[in-house]
Amino acid sequence: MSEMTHKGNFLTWIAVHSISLLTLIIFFKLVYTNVAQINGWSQYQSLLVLGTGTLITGLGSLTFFPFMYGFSREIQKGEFDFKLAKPLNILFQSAFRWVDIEDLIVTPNAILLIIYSVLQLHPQNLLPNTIGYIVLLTSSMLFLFSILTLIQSLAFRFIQINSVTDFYWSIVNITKYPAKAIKNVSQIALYALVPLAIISSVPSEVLMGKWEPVWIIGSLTLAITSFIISRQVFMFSLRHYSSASS
Amino acid sequence: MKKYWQFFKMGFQQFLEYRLNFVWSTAGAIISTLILYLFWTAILGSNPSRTISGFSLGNYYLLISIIGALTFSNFRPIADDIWEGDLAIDLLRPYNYILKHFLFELPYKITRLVLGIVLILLIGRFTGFKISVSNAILLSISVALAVGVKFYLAFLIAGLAFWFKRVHGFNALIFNFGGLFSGELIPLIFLPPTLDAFSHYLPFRYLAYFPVQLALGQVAIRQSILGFAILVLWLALVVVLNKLVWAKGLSQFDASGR
Repeated sequence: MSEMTHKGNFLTWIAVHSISLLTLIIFFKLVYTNVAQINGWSQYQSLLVLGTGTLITGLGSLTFFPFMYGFSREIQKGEFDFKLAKPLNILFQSAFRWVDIEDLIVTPNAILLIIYSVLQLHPQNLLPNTIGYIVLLTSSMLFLFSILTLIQSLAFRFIQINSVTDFYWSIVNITKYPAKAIKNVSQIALYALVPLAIISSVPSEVLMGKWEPVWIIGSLTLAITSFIISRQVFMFSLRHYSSASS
Repeated sequence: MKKYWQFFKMGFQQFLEYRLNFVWSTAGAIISTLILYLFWTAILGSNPSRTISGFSLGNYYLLISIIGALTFSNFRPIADDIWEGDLAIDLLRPYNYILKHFLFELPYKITRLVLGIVLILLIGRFTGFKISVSNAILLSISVALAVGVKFYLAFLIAGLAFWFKRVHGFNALIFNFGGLFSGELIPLIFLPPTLDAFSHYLPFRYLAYFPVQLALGQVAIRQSILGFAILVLWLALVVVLNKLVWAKGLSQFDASGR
């Protein structure tokens, strides 16, 4: 919380993240000045996906995103050994390192954008939709956490994988686009897009009132399965860890 | 000079030792462009060979993706050095810290360049896409200048770590704001006249869109000379800005690590 005590810094972060989001809103607005719909996705539906993707970024920063920073550096320097000595779940210790307070403003900004989009879309049955949205948002977060856990497990074997941060941010940024609007592409590209579509497009669809059981069950199953697998992979990789600094 | 050659060799050894790092960083640089290409394909009606103002969307995003990967500079190791206090060790040693980082990044850029050329040749063989020799020379010069601008921009962002705990937000701002005006998020012909005019006053247009236009032979001689002059000016400006920020930052740097 020390960052919040420096008013200048905190205001800078508000400006930086707000302009950043505003740029993406302008992008979508520009896109929709050229077309009315993208494969059935209207402007406000796309903005809702952007809001959801941004909300995921904000919530991730407040929870497990710090996992991607400095983890391989810790292994490289041998500082990870200290964590092993502590009587706490090692995955929990590695993933929930600190709260990224600089990104605090991302969450309210995203919620404002979601509210704005929902008001434009006028969905029916908003209460059950919102509950479904929260459940699926949680499942998306779990899926993203699992991807990060799988990637970071490689650090035990390959030590220096600090570029993972850039790769992971690319995935997170992709969630801001309505992946389900992308059609007529090759099967390989389509299969690669499916997990990305689940991250933000499926919760957004539920909030709009479009309940598609296949996608909903698919997302929940994928999130739970990937979490179990990623945890197993992390613990298995840990067994093969020998202090890198030694 | 010999010590810098050693740095280059060390960078290359590190690159070979930590090969997976290269895969992640390259994949990270390409994946965003790929999704944008697919997104634009969806917007424009699913035909990758569809042309916009004389060039195909596929070729456009191929070049944008290669240029993006080539000019990508990582600010994180520098910001980490500042934040953790490790920078003090480098400052005490008789070498140029900026040059050292550039030489460590060079093997990544060389490998991406080779991969980019192979990719263009391969795609050209199947689609007939070609870049003339004169356009390739112009493209190379513009990319070299863009590499310089983006490298110093990354250093500038990293330099903010003297004051801020984390600087990734600034990078996100450059990524989004710069993406809008560089032609990565949106081919610039889709920008309304006001924003298009505004983009001429920013560096981003000249870091991706201008090199692509040069490669596709869509810039008149007078415009290309002007474009190169603007790129040189931006390079000079970021170098000066960088010097100012780092001088100010170093004056209060206590190397305690936080």
